[in-house]
Amino acid sequence: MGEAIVFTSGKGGVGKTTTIANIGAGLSRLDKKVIMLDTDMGLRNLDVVMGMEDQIQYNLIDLLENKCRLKQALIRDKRYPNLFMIPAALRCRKIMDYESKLYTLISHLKQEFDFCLIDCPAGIEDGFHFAVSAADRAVVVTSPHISAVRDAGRVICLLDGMRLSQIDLLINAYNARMVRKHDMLSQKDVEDILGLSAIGVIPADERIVVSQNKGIPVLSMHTKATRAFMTAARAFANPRVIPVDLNKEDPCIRQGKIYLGGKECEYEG
Amino acid sequence: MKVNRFSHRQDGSGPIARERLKLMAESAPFEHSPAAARRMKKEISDIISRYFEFSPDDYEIRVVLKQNRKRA
Repeated sequence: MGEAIVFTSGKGGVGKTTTIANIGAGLSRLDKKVIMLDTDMGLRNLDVVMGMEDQIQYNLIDLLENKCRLKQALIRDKRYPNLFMIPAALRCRKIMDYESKLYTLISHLKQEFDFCLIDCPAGIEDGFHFAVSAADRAVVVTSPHISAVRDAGRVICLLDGMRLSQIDLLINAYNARMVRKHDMLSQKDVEDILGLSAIGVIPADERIVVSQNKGIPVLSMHTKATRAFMTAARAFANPRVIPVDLNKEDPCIRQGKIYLGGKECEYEG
Repeated sequence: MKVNRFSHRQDGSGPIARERLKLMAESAPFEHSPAAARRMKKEISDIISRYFEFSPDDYEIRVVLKQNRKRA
């Protein structure tokens, strides 16, 4: 029996879709069978990030209205083993009418897949409630920006009132250099304010833009964000294993490099 | 050569953001439903006046949500 995990944030643009695409790819690399559902009706983006926009024939609403079979709506990623996606519809007026059908669909998907990742739209209106309704657990994605953290707090309050087994926090676009200069909320600050400990911290990385331009998950490249996404994916796959960061650079070595004329990276720590 | 490389600057904007978020968390439990908060306080005050002969001017009703206190 698989798990349905909704990725939500409140604020838009913090990296829900990027996170889903890369955690999904990471879990499939760890030999898990993964399906990603885009519930952001009208503003679907998961297909573009995954580079699958030209393979869409049917969407989630077609499937819920029984206009097609499950096999027809599923799009398989050829680069990763056992990674599938169902895209969102381009228009849908009364999303809440489909809530019970979504629940039935996800109960069915959980029997076939190890992980069912749901991409939630921004905001806390009907689309949010629709996406969360069928999930077992939630991951709140936030960036260390004051507005994103505040919205994440509101979303966590809403999620507290729903019957979810677990709520996790994932910090995206983390700039360790700015944190060292006390110009950004640190991981501990965000964790303290939101009252949750982070399941993963993803550094801000220019390569994410490059990978999305090409329509491939950043996991196909070799950057810091790749390692962070793989660590987060391992935390989902094996929740009991505590990750050890072997790549962390010693602060003395970093300072030494700077004094010897090395340029400190703009984004990464 | 950057001069500020040698001065250890501690007064960044991060601590300001942290304090602002903490203030928001403490001051806004009923911000989204002021009408409901008013109604609830009215009902509580009705109950109090049923059992004690206090005038509503003599006391103040405050609701603190402990569970959500940390969250903005």
